[in-house]
Amino acid sequence: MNFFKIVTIASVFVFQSLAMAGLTQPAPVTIDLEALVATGDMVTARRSDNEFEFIGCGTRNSDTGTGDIFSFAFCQASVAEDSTVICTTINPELVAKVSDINDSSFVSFRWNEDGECVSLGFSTQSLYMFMAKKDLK
Amino acid sequence: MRWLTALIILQVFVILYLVAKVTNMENSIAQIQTLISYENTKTSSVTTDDYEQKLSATSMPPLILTPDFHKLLKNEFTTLQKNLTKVIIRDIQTQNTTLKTTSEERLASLEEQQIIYQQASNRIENFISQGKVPENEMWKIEGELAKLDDDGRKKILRKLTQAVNTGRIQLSH
Repeated sequence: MNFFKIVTIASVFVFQSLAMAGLTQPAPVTIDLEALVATGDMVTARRSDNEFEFIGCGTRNSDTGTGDIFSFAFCQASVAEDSTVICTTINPELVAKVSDINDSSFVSFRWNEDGECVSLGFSTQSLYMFMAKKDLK
Repeated sequence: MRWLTALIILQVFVILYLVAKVTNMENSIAQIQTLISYENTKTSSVTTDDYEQKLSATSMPPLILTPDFHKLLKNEFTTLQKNLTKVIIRDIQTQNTTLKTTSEERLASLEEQQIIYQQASNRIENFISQGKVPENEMWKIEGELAKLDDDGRKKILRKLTQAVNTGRIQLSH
């Protein structure tokens, strides 16, 4: 009887632990210089053992002096000291989309031969927040 | 355009006034003619009442377009046409002056942009020689980008991104 109790209690703890874990899908930064695409999630990049690994996007906004604001956006990624890639865009619609980025976003960007960003993608999902329980302690 | 509209309205009023005046004159002439004819048919004295009766019995004479009236109208239209031509010519001259001024301003602006573009381009060359982009320099290039037109901005950003992507510049921000 005691044996069954112990097994039951142990099972509960095991399954509860699994349920709390949730699905994780870390995406390390990758840079494809042939396809001109970089991808990766922010959390994985930040927690990487590779000190050069990072990915992200940002905007720069300047007063033109005529009452307008000039904005451009950039995305950049790196996996090694000398492997940083960057793209920029002055397309207002793409610039506006950069605000979709989040701390736990999976980021993907594509650029053309001129270094102009032609595609920006941000996916913010729990599976990119892969903090294990041990990391939350 | 306001000048043109005002002038047209004024000319229309003048014409209407003249038409009314001529019509009135012709009415008077017709009345006199009626009176004369009436006088001719009467041998004895005529009273005012008789005249009034005759006049009221006579329908309003139609507008008679006399050669003088035609001449008057023609003169008015000629004057109107001349004035309109003057206004149109003046308007076109004003437009040309405005276009010339805008064009000159744009040229000046383009010259300024060329200088700014060259500054930004030289700055990137400086980044390449240093192998990095100092943050205070990045602010400067952003200010220069803001003053350029879209074509200039694209060229400068292209130069910068290509320098980074080919490893000639390390960018950290």
